[in-house]
Amino acid sequence: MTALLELQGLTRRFGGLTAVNNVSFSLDQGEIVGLIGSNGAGKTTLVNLATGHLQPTAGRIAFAGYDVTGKTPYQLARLGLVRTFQVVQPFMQLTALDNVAAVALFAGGAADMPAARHDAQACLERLGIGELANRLPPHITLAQRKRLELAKALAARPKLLFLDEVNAGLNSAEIDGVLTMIRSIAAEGVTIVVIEHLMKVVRGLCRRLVVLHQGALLADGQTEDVARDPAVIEAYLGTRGAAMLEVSPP
Amino acid sequence: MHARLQGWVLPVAILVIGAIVAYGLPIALSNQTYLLRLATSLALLVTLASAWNLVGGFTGYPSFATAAFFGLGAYASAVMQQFGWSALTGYATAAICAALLSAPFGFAILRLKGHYFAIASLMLVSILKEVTTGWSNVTGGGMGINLPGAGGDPLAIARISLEILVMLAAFSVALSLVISRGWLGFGLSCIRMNETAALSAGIDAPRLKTIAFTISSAICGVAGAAYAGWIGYIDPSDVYDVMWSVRPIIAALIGGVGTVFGPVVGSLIYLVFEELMWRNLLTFGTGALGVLIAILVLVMPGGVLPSLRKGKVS
Repeated sequence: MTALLELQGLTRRFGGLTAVNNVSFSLDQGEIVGLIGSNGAGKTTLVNLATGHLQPTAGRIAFAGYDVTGKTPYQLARLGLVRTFQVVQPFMQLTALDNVAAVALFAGGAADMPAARHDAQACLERLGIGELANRLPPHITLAQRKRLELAKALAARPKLLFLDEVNAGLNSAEIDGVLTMIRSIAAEGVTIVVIEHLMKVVRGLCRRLVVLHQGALLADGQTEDVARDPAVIEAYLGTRGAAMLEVSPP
Repeated sequence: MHARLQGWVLPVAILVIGAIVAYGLPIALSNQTYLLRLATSLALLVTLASAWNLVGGFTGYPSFATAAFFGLGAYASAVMQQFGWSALTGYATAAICAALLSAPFGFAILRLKGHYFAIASLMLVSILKEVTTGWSNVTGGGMGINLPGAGGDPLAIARISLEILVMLAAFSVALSLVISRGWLGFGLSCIRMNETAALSAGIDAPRLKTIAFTISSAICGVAGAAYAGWIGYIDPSDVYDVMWSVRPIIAALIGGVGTVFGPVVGSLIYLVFEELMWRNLLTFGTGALGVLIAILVLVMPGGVLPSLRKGKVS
Protein backbone atom coordinates (compact mmCIF):
# COMPACT_ATOMS: atom_id res chain seq x y z
CA MET A 1 0.00 0.00 0.00
CA THR A 2 1.26 3.46 -0.84
CA ALA A 3 1.43 6.08 1.86
CA LEU A 4 -1.40 8.61 2.09
CA LEU A 5 1.01 11.52 2.28
CA GLU A 6 4.62 11.43 1.25
CA LEU A 7 7.00 14.33 1.74
CA GLN A 8 10.31 14.05 -0.07
CA GLY A 9 13.19 16.40 0.63
CA LEU A 10 10.87 19.30 1.42
CA THR A 11 12.78 22.56 1.77
CA ARG A 12 11.64 26.12 2.21
CA ARG A 13 13.92 29.12 2.43
CA PHE A 14 12.95 32.67 3.33
CA GLY A 15 15.89 34.67 2.05
CA GLY A 16 18.86 33.42 4.04
CA LEU A 17 16.76 31.50 6.55
CA THR A 18 16.01 27.85 5.88
CA ALA A 19 12.76 27.34 7.77
CA VAL A 20 12.29 23.76 6.61
CA ASN A 21 15.37 21.85 5.53
CA ASN A 22 15.19 18.66 3.47
CA VAL A 23 12.40 17.00 5.46
CA SER A 24 11.12 13.60 4.32
CA PHE A 25 8.56 11.35 5.94
CA SER A 26 5.35 9.61 5.01
CA LEU A 27 2.01 9.03 6.67
CA ASP A 28 -0.20 5.94 6.38
CA GLN A 29 -3.94 6.03 6.43
CA GLY A 30 -5.51 6.09 9.89
CA GLU A 31 -2.40 7.16 11.79
CA ILE A 32 -2.39 9.84 14.45
CA VAL A 33 1.04 11.41 14.32
CA GLY A 34 2.42 14.11 16.58
CA LEU A 35 4.53 16.82 14.96
CA ILE A 36 6.59 18.42 17.70
CA GLY A 37 9.51 20.77 18.09
CA SER A 38 10.39 23.99 19.86
CA ASN A 39 9.18 27.39 18.74
CA GLY A 40 10.62 28.22 15.36
CA ALA A 41 11.46 24.59 14.57
CA GLY A 42 9.46 24.86 11.35
CA LYS A 43 6.28 22.99 12.31
CA THR A 44 3.79 25.52 11.01
CA THR A 45 5.90 26.21 7.91
CA LEU A 46 5.86 22.47 7.20
CA VAL A 47 2.07 22.43 7.53
CA ASN A 48 1.84 25.46 5.26
CA LEU A 49 3.94 23.63 2.68
CA ALA A 50 1.98 20.40 2.90
CA THR A 51 -1.36 22.20 2.54
CA GLY A 52 -0.33 24.50 -0.30
CA HIS A 53 -0.31 27.77 1.66
CA LEU A 54 3.40 28.02 0.88
CA GLN A 55 5.25 26.59 -2.08
CA PRO A 56 8.41 24.58 -1.34
CA THR A 57 11.79 25.84 -2.53
CA ALA A 58 12.68 22.20 -3.23
CA GLY A 59 11.21 18.75 -2.73
CA ARG A 60 7.95 17.11 -3.65
CA ILE A 61 4.66 16.17 -2.02
CA ALA A 62 2.53 13.17 -2.95
CA PHE A 63 -0.99 12.76 -1.65
CA ALA A 64 -3.04 9.58 -2.15
CA GLY A 65 -0.63 8.49 -4.86
CA TYR A 66 -0.69 11.76 -6.83
CA ASP A 67 2.02 14.37 -7.05
CA VAL A 68 0.43 17.47 -5.55
CA THR A 69 3.54 19.68 -5.40
CA GLY A 70 2.56 23.23 -6.36
CA LYS A 71 -1.15 22.68 -5.85
CA THR A 72 -3.11 25.45 -4.18
CA PRO A 73 -4.86 25.21 -0.79
CA TYR A 74 -8.34 25.05 -2.32
CA GLN A 75 -7.35 22.23 -4.66
CA LEU A 76 -5.85 20.28 -1.79
CA ALA A 77 -8.85 20.97 0.45
CA ARG A 78 -11.13 19.52 -2.22
CA LEU A 79 -8.90 16.43 -2.39
CA GLY A 80 -9.29 15.95 1.36
CA LEU A 81 -6.06 17.47 2.61
CA VAL A 82 -7.36 19.82 5.27
CA ARG A 83 -5.92 21.90 8.08
CA THR A 84 -6.96 24.00 11.02
CA PHE A 85 -5.17 27.20 11.92
CA GLN A 86 -3.23 27.89 15.08
CA VAL A 87 -4.98 31.23 15.27
CA VAL A 88 -8.59 30.34 14.50
CA GLN A 89 -9.81 31.80 11.21
CA PRO A 90 -13.59 32.09 11.24
CA PHE A 91 -15.59 34.19 8.77
CA MET A 92 -16.53 36.88 11.27
CA GLN A 93 -19.82 38.00 9.76
CA LEU A 94 -21.15 34.52 9.06
CA THR A 95 -23.02 32.43 11.61
CA ALA A 96 -21.27 29.35 12.93
CA LEU A 97 -23.55 27.29 10.70
CA ASP A 98 -22.65 29.22 7.54
CA ASN A 99 -18.96 29.14 8.46
CA VAL A 100 -19.13 25.37 8.27
CA ALA A 101 -21.57 25.40 5.34
CA ALA A 102 -19.04 27.36 3.28
CA VAL A 103 -16.57 24.51 3.61
CA ALA A 104 -19.26 21.88 2.99
CA LEU A 105 -20.27 23.71 -0.20
CA PHE A 106 -16.87 24.48 -1.68
CA ALA A 107 -14.75 21.58 -0.42
CA GLY A 108 -17.15 18.96 0.95
CA GLY A 109 -19.06 18.33 -2.23
CA ALA A 110 -22.48 19.55 -1.02
CA ALA A 111 -24.74 20.10 -4.03
CA ASP A 112 -26.29 23.41 -2.95
CA MET A 113 -26.70 25.72 0.02
CA PRO A 114 -29.53 23.81 1.76
CA ALA A 115 -27.52 20.59 1.49
CA ALA A 116 -24.42 22.40 2.74
CA ARG A 117 -26.29 23.79 5.75
CA HIS A 118 -27.65 20.33 6.50
CA ASP A 119 -24.14 18.84 6.44
CA ALA A 120 -22.88 21.78 8.49
CA GLN A 121 -25.45 21.26 11.22
CA ALA A 122 -24.40 17.61 11.45
CA CYS A 123 -20.75 18.65 11.84
CA LEU A 124 -21.58 21.19 14.55
CA GLU A 125 -23.63 18.66 16.46
CA ARG A 126 -20.91 16.10 16.20
CA LEU A 127 -18.59 18.52 17.96
CA GLY A 128 -21.19 19.34 20.57
CA ILE A 129 -21.80 22.92 19.45
CA GLY A 130 -25.05 22.39 17.54
CA GLU A 131 -26.81 24.99 19.67
CA LEU A 132 -24.36 27.70 18.51
CA ALA A 133 -25.43 27.36 14.86
CA ASN A 134 -26.90 30.85 14.64
CA ARG A 135 -24.26 32.68 16.64
CA LEU A 136 -21.60 34.88 15.11
CA PRO A 137 -17.97 33.97 15.87
CA PRO A 138 -17.27 37.09 17.96
CA HIS A 139 -20.00 35.94 20.33
CA ILE A 140 -18.65 32.49 21.15
CA THR A 141 -15.84 31.48 23.48
CA LEU A 142 -12.33 30.52 22.40
CA ALA A 143 -12.94 26.86 23.26
CA GLN A 144 -16.07 26.88 21.13
CA ARG A 145 -14.25 28.64 18.31
CA LYS A 146 -11.63 25.89 18.35
CA ARG A 147 -14.44 23.40 17.98
CA LEU A 148 -15.91 25.49 15.19
CA GLU A 149 -12.54 25.32 13.46
CA LEU A 150 -12.63 21.53 13.82
CA ALA A 151 -16.21 21.43 12.51
CA LYS A 152 -15.10 23.41 9.45
CA ALA A 153 -12.29 20.94 8.85
CA LEU A 154 -14.69 18.01 9.16
CA ALA A 155 -17.11 19.55 6.68
CA ALA A 156 -14.44 19.21 3.98
CA ARG A 157 -14.67 15.40 4.40
CA PRO A 158 -10.95 15.16 5.09
CA LYS A 159 -8.70 12.21 4.39
CA LEU A 160 -5.83 13.91 6.16
CA LEU A 161 -6.20 16.53 8.82
CA PHE A 162 -3.48 18.82 10.15
CA LEU A 163 -4.46 20.16 13.56
CA ASP A 164 -2.26 23.15 14.31
CA GLU A 165 -2.34 23.62 18.09
CA VAL A 166 -6.07 23.12 18.47
CA ASN A 167 -5.56 22.98 22.22
CA ALA A 168 -3.52 26.13 22.76
CA GLY A 169 -5.27 28.39 25.23
CA LEU A 170 -7.73 25.78 26.46
CA ASN A 171 -8.08 24.55 30.03
CA SER A 172 -7.60 20.95 31.06
CA ALA A 173 -11.26 19.93 30.88
CA GLU A 174 -11.68 21.56 27.48
CA ILE A 175 -8.59 19.76 26.21
CA ASP A 176 -10.01 16.40 27.29
CA GLY A 177 -13.18 17.17 25.34
CA VAL A 178 -11.20 18.01 22.21
CA LEU A 179 -9.05 14.87 22.57
CA THR A 180 -12.14 12.66 22.65
CA MET A 181 -13.32 14.29 19.45
CA ILE A 182 -9.99 13.90 17.70
CA ARG A 183 -10.01 10.20 18.58
CA SER A 184 -13.52 9.77 17.23
CA ILE A 185 -12.53 11.48 13.97
CA ALA A 186 -9.49 9.22 13.69
CA ALA A 187 -11.66 6.18 14.37
CA GLU A 188 -13.39 6.86 11.05
CA GLY A 189 -10.11 6.38 9.20
CA VAL A 190 -9.05 10.01 8.95
CA THR A 191 -5.30 10.40 9.22
CA ILE A 192 -4.41 13.11 11.71
CA VAL A 193 -1.27 15.12 12.29
CA VAL A 194 -1.29 16.92 15.63
CA ILE A 195 1.02 19.90 15.95
CA GLU A 196 1.43 20.41 19.64
CA HIS A 197 3.41 21.86 22.48
CA LEU A 198 1.39 20.12 25.19
CA MET A 199 2.95 16.80 26.19
CA LYS A 200 -0.34 15.71 27.70
CA VAL A 201 -1.99 15.88 24.29
CA VAL A 202 0.84 14.21 22.44
CA ARG A 203 1.05 11.41 24.95
CA GLY A 204 -2.69 10.86 24.92
CA LEU A 205 -3.07 10.70 21.17
CA CYS A 206 -0.03 9.71 19.21
CA ARG A 207 1.77 6.43 18.77
CA ARG A 208 4.22 8.05 16.44
CA LEU A 209 6.12 11.29 16.71
CA VAL A 210 7.94 13.40 14.15
CA VAL A 211 10.37 15.86 15.72
CA LEU A 212 11.62 18.97 13.93
CA HIS A 213 14.62 20.92 15.10
CA GLN A 214 15.86 24.08 13.39
CA GLY A 215 13.93 23.15 10.28
CA ALA A 216 15.36 19.64 9.95
CA LEU A 217 13.95 16.25 10.82
CA LEU A 218 15.46 15.26 14.15
CA ALA A 219 13.57 12.05 14.88
CA ASP A 220 10.69 9.99 13.53
CA GLY A 221 9.44 6.92 15.34
CA GLN A 222 7.31 5.33 18.07
CA THR A 223 6.44 7.77 20.83
CA GLU A 224 8.39 5.79 23.49
CA ASP A 225 11.48 5.50 21.32
CA VAL A 226 11.48 9.17 20.45
CA ALA A 227 11.08 10.06 24.11
CA ARG A 228 14.25 8.11 24.89
CA ASP A 229 16.23 9.54 22.00
CA PRO A 230 19.08 11.53 23.56
CA ALA A 231 19.17 13.99 20.66
CA VAL A 232 15.47 14.78 21.11
CA ILE A 233 15.86 15.14 24.87
CA GLU A 234 18.72 17.52 24.44
CA ALA A 235 17.17 19.59 21.66
CA TYR A 236 13.60 19.81 22.78
CA LEU A 237 12.08 17.69 25.49
CA GLY A 238 14.45 18.12 28.40
CA THR A 239 14.47 15.35 30.99
CA ARG A 240 11.14 16.31 32.48
CA GLY A 241 9.34 16.29 29.15
CA ALA A 242 10.88 12.95 28.32
CA ALA A 243 9.59 11.55 31.59
CA MET A 244 6.09 12.74 30.77
CA LEU A 245 6.23 10.97 27.43
CA GLU A 246 7.49 7.67 28.85
CA VAL A 247 3.95 6.45 29.46
CA SER A 248 2.62 4.45 26.53
CA PRO A 249 -0.46 5.83 24.82
CA PRO A 250 -3.74 4.19 25.81
CA MET B 1 -38.05 23.97 -5.90
CA HIS B 2 -40.49 26.39 -4.31
CA ALA B 3 -37.69 28.17 -2.48
CA ARG B 4 -35.70 28.33 -5.69
CA LEU B 5 -38.60 30.02 -7.50
CA GLN B 6 -38.99 32.47 -4.63
CA GLY B 7 -35.38 33.48 -5.01
CA TRP B 8 -36.11 34.80 -8.50
CA VAL B 9 -39.11 36.92 -7.52
CA LEU B 10 -37.19 40.00 -6.39
CA PRO B 11 -34.62 40.10 -9.21
CA VAL B 12 -37.38 39.70 -11.78
CA ALA B 13 -39.42 42.36 -9.99
CA ILE B 14 -36.45 44.74 -10.22
CA LEU B 15 -36.19 44.11 -13.96
CA VAL B 16 -39.95 44.63 -14.42
CA ILE B 17 -39.90 47.86 -12.41
CA GLY B 18 -36.84 48.91 -14.41
CA ALA B 19 -38.70 48.23 -17.66
CA ILE B 20 -41.74 50.21 -16.50
CA VAL B 21 -39.58 53.15 -15.41
CA ALA B 22 -37.55 52.91 -18.60
CA TYR B 23 -40.74 53.08 -20.64
CA GLY B 24 -42.66 55.61 -18.53
CA LEU B 25 -40.04 58.09 -17.35
CA PRO B 26 -38.98 59.40 -20.79
CA ILE B 27 -42.66 60.00 -21.58
CA ALA B 28 -43.34 61.69 -18.24
CA LEU B 29 -40.29 63.90 -18.59
CA SER B 30 -40.65 64.26 -22.35
CA ASN B 31 -39.70 67.93 -22.64
CA GLN B 32 -38.00 68.62 -19.35
CA THR B 33 -34.43 68.37 -20.48
CA TYR B 34 -32.98 69.13 -17.05
CA LEU B 35 -34.87 66.32 -15.33
CA LEU B 36 -34.15 63.96 -18.23
CA ARG B 37 -30.48 64.65 -17.81
CA LEU B 38 -30.64 64.21 -14.05
CA ALA B 39 -32.52 60.91 -14.28
CA THR B 40 -30.06 59.62 -16.87
CA SER B 41 -27.11 60.62 -14.67
CA LEU B 42 -28.71 58.80 -11.77
CA ALA B 43 -29.24 55.62 -13.80
CA LEU B 44 -25.64 55.80 -15.01
CA LEU B 45 -24.30 56.25 -11.47
CA VAL B 46 -26.47 53.41 -10.12
CA THR B 47 -25.13 51.15 -12.87
CA LEU B 48 -21.50 51.98 -12.16
CA ALA B 49 -21.84 51.94 -8.35
CA SER B 50 -23.63 48.63 -8.41
CA ALA B 51 -21.05 47.14 -10.78
CA TRP B 52 -18.18 48.48 -8.64
CA ASN B 53 -19.85 46.99 -5.57
CA LEU B 54 -19.38 43.45 -6.96
CA VAL B 55 -15.62 43.88 -6.61
CA GLY B 56 -15.25 46.66 -4.06
CA GLY B 57 -18.15 45.62 -1.86
CA PHE B 58 -18.86 41.92 -2.14
CA THR B 59 -15.22 40.91 -2.59
CA GLY B 60 -13.54 43.70 -0.63
CA TYR B 61 -11.09 44.75 -3.37
CA PRO B 62 -11.21 48.55 -3.77
CA SER B 63 -10.96 48.90 -7.54
CA PHE B 64 -10.28 52.23 -9.24
CA ALA B 65 -10.46 50.69 -12.70
CA THR B 66 -14.09 51.65 -13.32
CA ALA B 67 -13.07 54.62 -15.48
CA ALA B 68 -10.79 52.38 -17.56
CA PHE B 69 -13.57 50.02 -18.60
CA PHE B 70 -16.06 52.85 -18.86
CA GLY B 71 -13.78 54.67 -21.29
CA LEU B 72 -12.89 51.49 -23.15
CA GLY B 73 -16.58 50.71 -23.62
CA ALA B 74 -17.30 54.25 -24.79
CA TYR B 75 -14.52 54.09 -27.37
CA ALA B 76 -15.23 50.52 -28.48
CA SER B 77 -18.81 51.44 -29.22
CA ALA B 78 -17.96 54.79 -30.82
CA VAL B 79 -15.32 53.27 -33.10
CA MET B 80 -17.67 50.47 -34.17
CA GLN B 81 -20.37 52.98 -35.01
CA GLN B 82 -17.87 55.08 -36.95
CA PHE B 83 -17.19 52.03 -39.08
CA GLY B 84 -20.90 51.85 -39.79
CA TRP B 85 -22.05 49.23 -37.32
CA SER B 86 -25.26 49.61 -35.35
CA ALA B 87 -25.44 50.98 -31.80
CA LEU B 88 -26.41 47.52 -30.57
CA THR B 89 -23.23 46.04 -32.06
CA GLY B 90 -21.42 48.89 -30.32
CA TYR B 91 -22.81 47.84 -26.94
CA ALA B 92 -21.90 44.20 -27.55
CA THR B 93 -18.37 45.19 -28.59
CA ALA B 94 -18.03 47.36 -25.49
CA ALA B 95 -19.02 44.48 -23.22
CA ILE B 96 -16.73 42.02 -25.02
CA CYS B 97 -13.72 44.36 -25.07
CA ALA B 98 -14.13 45.18 -21.37
CA ALA B 99 -14.51 41.51 -20.48
CA LEU B 100 -11.55 40.41 -22.63
CA LEU B 101 -9.27 43.01 -21.08
CA SER B 102 -10.52 42.70 -17.50
CA ALA B 103 -10.26 38.92 -17.22
CA PRO B 104 -6.46 38.64 -17.59
CA PHE B 105 -5.83 42.05 -16.03
CA GLY B 106 -8.02 41.21 -13.05
CA PHE B 107 -6.47 37.77 -12.64
CA ALA B 108 -3.05 39.43 -12.53
CA ILE B 109 -3.75 42.29 -10.11
CA LEU B 110 -6.30 40.61 -7.84
CA ARG B 111 -3.44 38.87 -6.08
CA LEU B 112 -2.49 42.27 -4.70
CA LYS B 113 -4.24 43.42 -1.56
CA GLY B 114 -5.66 46.69 -0.28
CA HIS B 115 -3.82 49.81 -1.37
CA TYR B 116 -1.57 47.93 -3.77
CA PHE B 117 -4.57 46.58 -5.62
CA ALA B 118 -6.15 50.05 -5.67
CA ILE B 119 -3.02 51.64 -7.20
CA ALA B 120 -2.61 48.86 -9.77
CA SER B 121 -6.23 49.19 -10.84
CA LEU B 122 -5.84 52.97 -11.10
CA MET B 123 -2.85 52.56 -13.44
CA LEU B 124 -5.06 50.96 -16.07
CA VAL B 125 -7.01 54.21 -16.41
CA SER B 126 -3.86 56.16 -17.28
CA ILE B 127 -2.59 53.45 -19.60
CA LEU B 128 -5.81 53.22 -21.61
CA LYS B 129 -6.06 57.00 -21.75
CA GLU B 130 -2.54 57.22 -23.21
CA VAL B 131 -3.17 54.40 -25.67
CA THR B 132 -6.43 55.93 -26.82
CA THR B 133 -4.86 59.36 -27.26
CA GLY B 134 -1.92 57.90 -29.14
CA TRP B 135 -3.87 55.64 -31.47
CA SER B 136 -5.32 58.62 -33.30
CA ASN B 137 -6.05 57.08 -36.71
CA VAL B 138 -8.71 54.87 -35.08
CA THR B 139 -9.78 56.88 -32.02
CA GLY B 140 -9.28 60.40 -33.31
CA GLY B 141 -6.73 60.94 -30.54
CA GLY B 142 -7.22 64.08 -28.49
CA MET B 143 -9.79 65.33 -31.03
CA GLY B 144 -12.26 62.70 -29.85
CA ILE B 145 -15.14 61.12 -31.78
CA ASN B 146 -18.51 62.53 -32.78
CA LEU B 147 -21.45 60.13 -32.75
CA PRO B 148 -24.41 61.07 -34.94
CA GLY B 149 -26.99 58.87 -33.17
CA ALA B 150 -30.79 58.92 -33.63
CA GLY B 151 -30.77 61.33 -36.54
CA GLY B 152 -29.28 64.05 -34.41
CA ASP B 153 -32.48 64.99 -32.55
CA PRO B 154 -31.18 65.85 -29.06
CA LEU B 155 -34.48 65.16 -27.29
CA ALA B 156 -34.87 61.75 -28.94
CA ILE B 157 -31.32 60.88 -27.97
CA ALA B 158 -32.00 61.98 -24.38
CA ARG B 159 -35.09 59.77 -24.15
CA ILE B 160 -33.46 56.71 -25.69
CA SER B 161 -30.40 57.14 -23.45
CA LEU B 162 -32.61 57.30 -20.36
CA GLU B 163 -34.41 54.12 -21.43
CA ILE B 164 -31.17 52.26 -22.03
CA LEU B 165 -29.46 53.39 -18.85
CA VAL B 166 -32.46 52.71 -16.61
CA MET B 167 -32.63 49.17 -18.03
CA LEU B 168 -28.90 48.78 -17.54
CA ALA B 169 -29.15 50.01 -13.94
CA ALA B 170 -32.01 47.60 -13.23
CA PHE B 171 -30.02 44.78 -14.81
CA SER B 172 -26.95 45.65 -12.77
CA VAL B 173 -28.88 45.70 -9.48
CA ALA B 174 -30.85 42.53 -10.29
CA LEU B 175 -27.60 40.77 -11.19
CA SER B 176 -26.04 41.90 -7.91
CA LEU B 177 -28.98 40.45 -6.08
CA VAL B 178 -28.77 37.11 -7.89
CA ILE B 179 -25.01 36.94 -7.29
CA SER B 180 -25.31 37.91 -3.61
CA ARG B 181 -27.75 35.07 -3.01
CA GLY B 182 -25.90 32.40 -4.98
CA TRP B 183 -22.71 30.44 -4.50
CA LEU B 184 -20.64 33.15 -6.19
CA GLY B 185 -21.75 35.82 -3.72
CA PHE B 186 -21.27 33.44 -0.82
CA GLY B 187 -17.76 32.61 -1.96
CA LEU B 188 -16.92 36.28 -2.55
CA SER B 189 -18.11 37.24 0.93
CA CYS B 190 -15.92 34.51 2.41
CA ILE B 191 -12.97 35.92 0.46
CA ARG B 192 -13.75 39.41 1.76
CA MET B 193 -13.94 38.24 5.38
CA ASN B 194 -10.86 36.02 5.37
CA GLU B 195 -9.11 35.02 2.19
CA THR B 196 -6.77 32.50 3.85
CA ALA B 197 -9.69 30.71 5.46
CA ALA B 198 -11.59 30.89 2.17
CA LEU B 199 -8.75 29.08 0.38
CA SER B 200 -8.74 26.43 3.09
CA ALA B 201 -12.49 26.09 2.70
CA GLY B 202 -11.92 24.95 -0.87
CA ILE B 203 -12.87 28.30 -2.42
CA ASP B 204 -11.06 28.94 -5.70
CA ALA B 205 -10.41 32.56 -4.75
CA PRO B 206 -8.43 33.64 -7.85
CA ARG B 207 -11.16 32.34 -10.14
CA LEU B 208 -14.07 33.82 -8.18
CA LYS B 209 -12.39 37.21 -7.90
CA THR B 210 -11.66 37.22 -11.63
CA ILE B 211 -15.28 36.33 -12.44
CA ALA B 212 -16.57 39.17 -10.27
CA PHE B 213 -14.08 41.63 -11.77
CA THR B 214 -14.94 40.59 -15.33
CA ILE B 215 -18.71 40.87 -14.82
CA SER B 216 -18.25 44.25 -13.15
CA SER B 217 -16.01 45.53 -15.95
CA ALA B 218 -18.32 44.33 -18.72
CA ILE B 219 -21.19 46.29 -17.14
CA CYS B 220 -18.97 49.38 -16.87
CA GLY B 221 -18.07 48.92 -20.55
CA VAL B 222 -21.71 48.88 -21.63
CA ALA B 223 -22.36 51.90 -19.40
CA GLY B 224 -19.55 53.70 -21.23
CA ALA B 225 -21.10 52.81 -24.57
CA ALA B 226 -24.45 54.16 -23.40
CA TYR B 227 -22.75 57.33 -22.17
CA ALA B 228 -21.07 57.85 -25.54
CA GLY B 229 -24.41 57.50 -27.31
CA TRP B 230 -26.03 59.87 -24.86
CA ILE B 231 -23.43 62.67 -24.93
CA GLY B 232 -22.71 62.27 -28.63
CA TYR B 233 -19.08 63.31 -28.37
CA ILE B 234 -16.28 61.62 -26.45
CA ASP B 235 -12.63 62.41 -25.93
CA PRO B 236 -10.01 60.66 -23.79
CA SER B 237 -9.91 63.26 -21.01
CA ASP B 238 -13.68 62.97 -20.54
CA VAL B 239 -14.35 59.22 -20.59
CA TYR B 240 -11.09 58.27 -18.86
CA ASP B 241 -11.62 60.92 -16.17
CA VAL B 242 -10.76 59.33 -12.83
CA MET B 243 -14.00 60.76 -11.43
CA TRP B 244 -15.77 57.91 -13.23
CA SER B 245 -13.92 55.65 -10.80
CA VAL B 246 -14.38 57.82 -7.74
CA ARG B 247 -18.06 58.78 -7.93
CA PRO B 248 -19.38 55.17 -7.92
CA ILE B 249 -17.17 54.43 -4.91
CA ILE B 250 -18.52 57.46 -3.03
CA ALA B 251 -22.08 56.48 -3.93
CA ALA B 252 -21.53 52.93 -2.67
CA LEU B 253 -19.85 54.22 0.50
CA ILE B 254 -22.76 56.54 1.24
CA GLY B 255 -25.42 53.91 0.61
CA GLY B 256 -23.74 50.86 2.07
CA VAL B 257 -20.75 48.99 0.67
CA GLY B 258 -21.39 45.31 0.04
CA THR B 259 -25.18 45.60 0.20
CA VAL B 260 -27.30 45.12 -2.91
CA PHE B 261 -29.37 48.30 -2.58
CA GLY B 262 -26.76 50.49 -0.91
CA PRO B 263 -25.32 51.68 -4.24
CA VAL B 264 -28.83 52.63 -5.40
CA VAL B 265 -29.63 54.69 -2.29
CA GLY B 266 -26.11 56.13 -2.22
CA SER B 267 -26.27 57.20 -5.88
CA LEU B 268 -29.55 58.99 -5.24
CA ILE B 269 -28.22 60.81 -2.17
CA TYR B 270 -24.96 61.68 -3.92
CA LEU B 271 -26.68 63.15 -6.98
CA VAL B 272 -29.21 65.12 -4.93
CA PHE B 273 -26.40 66.63 -2.85
CA GLU B 274 -24.30 67.30 -5.92
CA GLU B 275 -27.16 69.16 -7.60
CA LEU B 276 -28.05 71.14 -4.47
CA MET B 277 -24.46 72.19 -3.87
CA TRP B 278 -23.88 72.97 -7.49
CA ARG B 279 -26.92 75.18 -7.71
CA ASN B 280 -26.67 76.98 -4.41
CA LEU B 281 -22.94 77.23 -3.83
CA LEU B 282 -21.63 77.60 -7.33
CA THR B 283 -18.15 78.74 -6.39
CA PHE B 284 -17.61 76.31 -3.54
CA GLY B 285 -19.95 73.53 -4.73
CA THR B 286 -17.43 70.72 -4.99
CA GLY B 287 -15.83 71.66 -1.69
CA ALA B 288 -19.14 71.67 0.14
CA LEU B 289 -20.00 68.33 -1.43
CA GLY B 290 -16.72 66.90 -0.17
CA VAL B 291 -17.37 68.13 3.36
CA LEU B 292 -20.89 66.69 3.27
CA ILE B 293 -19.65 63.29 2.09
CA ALA B 294 -17.00 63.25 4.80
CA ILE B 295 -19.62 64.00 7.45
CA LEU B 296 -21.95 61.32 6.09
CA VAL B 297 -19.27 58.66 6.07
CA LEU B 298 -18.18 59.64 9.59
CA VAL B 299 -21.70 59.58 11.02
CA MET B 300 -22.80 56.44 9.21
CA PRO B 301 -19.58 54.44 8.73
CA GLY B 302 -21.22 51.36 7.20
CA GLY B 303 -23.37 53.47 4.89
CA VAL B 304 -26.94 54.71 5.11
CA LEU B 305 -28.71 51.40 4.53
CA PRO B 306 -26.79 49.32 7.13
CA SER B 307 -27.13 52.20 9.63
CA LEU B 308 -30.88 52.24 9.16
CA ARG B 309 -31.02 48.49 9.67
CA LYS B 310 -28.96 48.87 12.80
CA GLY B 311 -28.03 45.66 14.56
CA LYS B 312 -28.78 43.59 11.52
CA VAL B 313 -25.61 42.34 9.86
CA SER B 314 -25.57 42.78 6.14
